Amino acid sequence: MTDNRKILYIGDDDIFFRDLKSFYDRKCSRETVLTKQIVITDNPDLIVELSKTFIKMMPHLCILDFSKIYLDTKLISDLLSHLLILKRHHLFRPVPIFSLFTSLEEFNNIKFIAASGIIVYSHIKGENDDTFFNDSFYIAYEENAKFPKYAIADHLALNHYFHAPSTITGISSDALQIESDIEPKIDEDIEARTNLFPEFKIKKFDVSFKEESSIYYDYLYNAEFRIPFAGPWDEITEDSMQKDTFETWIDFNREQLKSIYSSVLIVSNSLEFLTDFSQYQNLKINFYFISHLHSGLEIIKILKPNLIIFSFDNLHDEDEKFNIPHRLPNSLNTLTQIVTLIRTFPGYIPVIVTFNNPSSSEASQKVYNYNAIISSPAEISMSLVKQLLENFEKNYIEKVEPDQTFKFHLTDNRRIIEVKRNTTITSLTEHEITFLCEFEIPYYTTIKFDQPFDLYVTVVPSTRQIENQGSRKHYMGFIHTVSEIQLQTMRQFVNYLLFKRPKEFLFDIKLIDEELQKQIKAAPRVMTEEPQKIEKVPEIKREASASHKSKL
Amino acid sequence: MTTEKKVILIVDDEVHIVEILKTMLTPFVDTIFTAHNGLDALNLVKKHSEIDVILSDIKMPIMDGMAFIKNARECKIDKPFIFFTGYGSEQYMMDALKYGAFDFLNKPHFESLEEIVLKALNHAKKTNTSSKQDGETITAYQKLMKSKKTE
Repeated sequence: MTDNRKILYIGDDDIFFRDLKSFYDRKCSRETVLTKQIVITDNPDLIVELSKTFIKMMPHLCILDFSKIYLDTKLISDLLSHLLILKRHHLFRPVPIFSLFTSLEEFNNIKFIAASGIIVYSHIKGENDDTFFNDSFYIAYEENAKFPKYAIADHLALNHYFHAPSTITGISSDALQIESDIEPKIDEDIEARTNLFPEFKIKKFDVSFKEESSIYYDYLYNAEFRIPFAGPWDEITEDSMQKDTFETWIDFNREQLKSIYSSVLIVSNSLEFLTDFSQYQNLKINFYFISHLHSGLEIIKILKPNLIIFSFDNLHDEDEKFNIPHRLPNSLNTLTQIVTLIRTFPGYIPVIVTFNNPSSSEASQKVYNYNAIISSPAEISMSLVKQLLENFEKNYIEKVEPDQTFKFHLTDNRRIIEVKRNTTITSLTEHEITFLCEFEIPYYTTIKFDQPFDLYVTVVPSTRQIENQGSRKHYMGFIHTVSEIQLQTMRQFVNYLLFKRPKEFLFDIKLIDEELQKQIKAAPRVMTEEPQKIEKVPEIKREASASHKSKL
Repeated sequence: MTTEKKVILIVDDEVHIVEILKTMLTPFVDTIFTAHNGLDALNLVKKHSEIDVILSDIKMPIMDGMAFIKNARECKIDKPFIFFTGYGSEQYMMDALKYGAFDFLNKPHFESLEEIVLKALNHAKKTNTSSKQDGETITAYQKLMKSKKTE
């Protein structure tokens, strides 16, 4: 158990912040609790303050309150962009980020945040703030937060499906590059729904590529979905289209889509960069920061940066002792791998500037047999990197056109793609859902059921014993992003499943006869108002994520 | 370059190599120290702080070139090291980078010997502040980018 709690709240709701502090003061009365608020409105230094606070405080969880700013897409874009960059540093990767709204309409106005991978759970503020406090505590610490006991419809076996909000990161003339927390399989015919344009009705795609890393958003996988266009003699059905229709749409929207400029990759464990990105935002180049490269060097394969700034960690530390999963140390051996990879791309000769390198440029060039390495013994500094970037932009910027891949802006809802998976639902309360799946779902993935409405769920280590069934894994998810009115519907739905035992996971008030409606209205919402008398369950700690794939 | 004395140390267990290098370097350095293993070289460099540059073989008895530079760095001796390389020394070269190698010379042909040694002497004589280091990095970067552009 941690002996202090650190919670960062970014928002203007002083009353909510007061309630948040009270919750932790009550719950963790024998511990040191640090809660900090960063105000959003009229805060010109918001981004810098956010970054500096993150670095200094190292929060265990971060709560972003969009209530006052849900119409300010520029500010939201800046906030999310910075948080995405912060989360690429290995120190901040495990920090869950929650979002708050005062109404469902606010959330629906900026739905794109649910397809960034970075928001683990969204809450509509109101009477159920305690549920949010308990859930966020559990997600941050994997400690039993003494949940109330809810009426439960269990022993169900209802075949249904969910969709995982994911994102399109690139569009070419015949494929979509996507990032998602749901692992696709190569050659799988995957089903997904898109939001591109009305004529794009294709729902099934062929997975031609998959890697366990993400580049632009906070997801676990990136993949290529090939679009199965109808051939010239094929009949056009309601879920098919021809390639020239798609290409015409791309041409028509070319101005709105971002084409990829020259990229600069900065690899450094230093936290200095994370304090102020605004000085880089006005540059035309696409710069990408990461603390440690993924073990497959996907970022280099995909971005092919023209300039790589690589800051060595302590060169005397052995690579074998490096312990960040799926990442490479910033070491001489990793640089060998980078140069080896570069050589596999004909004509691709990026400049590599190395920092914390005690050897000379000439020595480095000879060892790697690669002439475009510059070395500096100094520690990497923002001022020097800025000079390099400005020089790069002024003199050597090139537009990359050959592969004709386009990106959507972060705030563009058309980038949302939802990957479908089948499942069997085994129980439902107004607070959680359990379900069986053939495949692995990482903890803290957000998925969405469509009954009794758009039901957002975050998969968590189960708070009660649930058993896998054969090859099917059993999962629990916390339900969230639910308004007060929707909560009433949830309660009706739970009672409907409990009393009616339908064969389908489908809620339609019209199907419920008068007699059952009376039963549903009479049934208590909560079996007991007493918190569960379960003490802290020793097996459910943050370590639960160590034995199961997790986003955090 | 200043008019200070230029002092180098040559370390190799092969005596004839040491003699060849002494002959080649005598015209443009002032003093040449020699040693035939890393341990003797380390003792020399500790005793003679006026040594500016070290040319060292890698594979030597008693103490090899890697142990020599490692121990030298631990004693805060930050002089530039130029290593001789030959067949099978790739891993040693990689190890040498960890401790700050200045350059490598191909043994026994020693192409560019004079150029590399003079560069190292120049480097040794400079007072390297962080702003100078930054300036050098930018200059090297601009030069490299310019050559890429003309290609």
